[in-house]
Amino acid sequence: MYMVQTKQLTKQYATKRVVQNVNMHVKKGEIYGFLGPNGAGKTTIMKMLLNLIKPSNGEISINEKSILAMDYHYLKNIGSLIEYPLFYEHLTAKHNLQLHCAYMQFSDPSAITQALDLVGLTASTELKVKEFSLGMRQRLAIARAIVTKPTLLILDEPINGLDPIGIKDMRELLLKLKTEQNMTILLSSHILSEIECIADTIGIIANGILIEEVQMKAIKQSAEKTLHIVLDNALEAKPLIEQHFLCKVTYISPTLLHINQFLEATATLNAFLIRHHFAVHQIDVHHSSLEDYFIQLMHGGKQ
Amino acid sequence: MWQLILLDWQKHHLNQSLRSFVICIIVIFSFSIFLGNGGHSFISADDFFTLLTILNNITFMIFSSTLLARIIIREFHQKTIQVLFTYPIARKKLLLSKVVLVYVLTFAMLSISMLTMQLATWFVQGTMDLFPDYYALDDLLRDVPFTFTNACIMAGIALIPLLFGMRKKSTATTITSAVIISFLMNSTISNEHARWSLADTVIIPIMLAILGIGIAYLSFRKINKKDVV
Repeated sequence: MYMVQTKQLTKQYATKRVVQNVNMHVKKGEIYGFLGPNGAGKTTIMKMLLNLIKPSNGEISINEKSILAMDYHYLKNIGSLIEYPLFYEHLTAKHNLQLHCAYMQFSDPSAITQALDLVGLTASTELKVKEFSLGMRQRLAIARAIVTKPTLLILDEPINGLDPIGIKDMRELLLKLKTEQNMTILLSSHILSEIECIADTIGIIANGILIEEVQMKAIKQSAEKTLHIVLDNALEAKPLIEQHFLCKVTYISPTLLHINQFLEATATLNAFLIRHHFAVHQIDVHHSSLEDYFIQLMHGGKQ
Repeated sequence: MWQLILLDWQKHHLNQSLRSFVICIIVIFSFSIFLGNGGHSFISADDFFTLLTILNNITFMIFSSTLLARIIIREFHQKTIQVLFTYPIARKKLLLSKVVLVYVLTFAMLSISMLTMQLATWFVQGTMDLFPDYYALDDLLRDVPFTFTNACIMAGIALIPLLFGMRKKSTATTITSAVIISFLMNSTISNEHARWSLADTVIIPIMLAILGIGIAYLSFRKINKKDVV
């Protein structure tokens, strides 16, 4: 059921606990987004999943098998990009991928061209990596992560250094990998909007603590909607609306009112206000976004 | 293991080292001939070969440390080791294959270079008269076992700089320690009038080689438990 599961995962350095009792659950075939500010422990958790960093405490299981400090066989099914994209600078893009395949004991000569094509680097295959820009390195690193067609993809800040078109391509590529190859993708970012539009589940992390794991669907459903009304003389309008529509109206400023219910009948409301000679300038339905939700949680976490 | 060694060979462009290797031989040999040119600066054939052996050992022990730096230390310094450790291969096996590669290369360079220079001496001795003795092909063949045991020990000792280099993940430290170790090792030989007597027995050279390899192993003994940051 779960591709990645951790129990009470903790990493403690001499003085600081960088990851504390993290219980995360990544389902098979979903995109799981790690969201948190810089230094929250996202990279450390990902490195622990790859056994690059050994946990001080807790358990990790990948594909239902628990991972010990000395294990390495399970890495065959994982593609990864951690922190900065690292390559052998004096070798060409293609040669770097060939080496990767050889070390992964993966032999499919067409896979390299395919992967380079998927990330849009077909024109630069014979260039040495030292001539690459950060965005190109990032693309190449993703090509390296997916070339062996792993079942689990671990990407740390995959959109770092990409241009807007690159970001869009990446989003489409990840969705494609998820649907066509049924890959489970674990990615991290500190940019909300990026995770918001592709992730199925979001793990919100701050100061090494996993604050909450939520389904994107649930957030979208529970997102609160408010009606914002901009009009003259808000103070007089408030009791009138409350009486007539039997709802709670919040007075924000002399020209702004908020209503939390009663969202469908904006036309009726507008007509009513005009009948009572209020000058209505604007009525709109405001959706609280993931950003509000995130900030709310962050503040909750700090308290 | 063989596969891993081949991959390292390709990855670090070791073909290019062949050229440096040939240049090293030419420089050592011409330098020695230059010293002996015109009059008998060398008392005997042994005297001449002692010089060649010392220069050969020092040169290729330092050469070996540049290989260590290129194949092992730089992977740590440039953090590409982080990528290597995400492969389904035991960390110790990865590093061991690199150490074996350096050992074998150093051994090969030390022995091939020495054999080449002995052969070259045999060729030029007739015309250049470097030392008073007559140098026959039989003398040359007599030296072959010594050349191999010497290469075997020195290649082992040449791995010791790895221990120092790995502490700071520094190329400079690796090469500096190799310079110091190679001079220390070879100055003891030249102080003795006879040529390296330790090499006459078999057990001691093997033990010294194992000591070097053991010290190299110390540098990555705990690698399985270490965090790669």
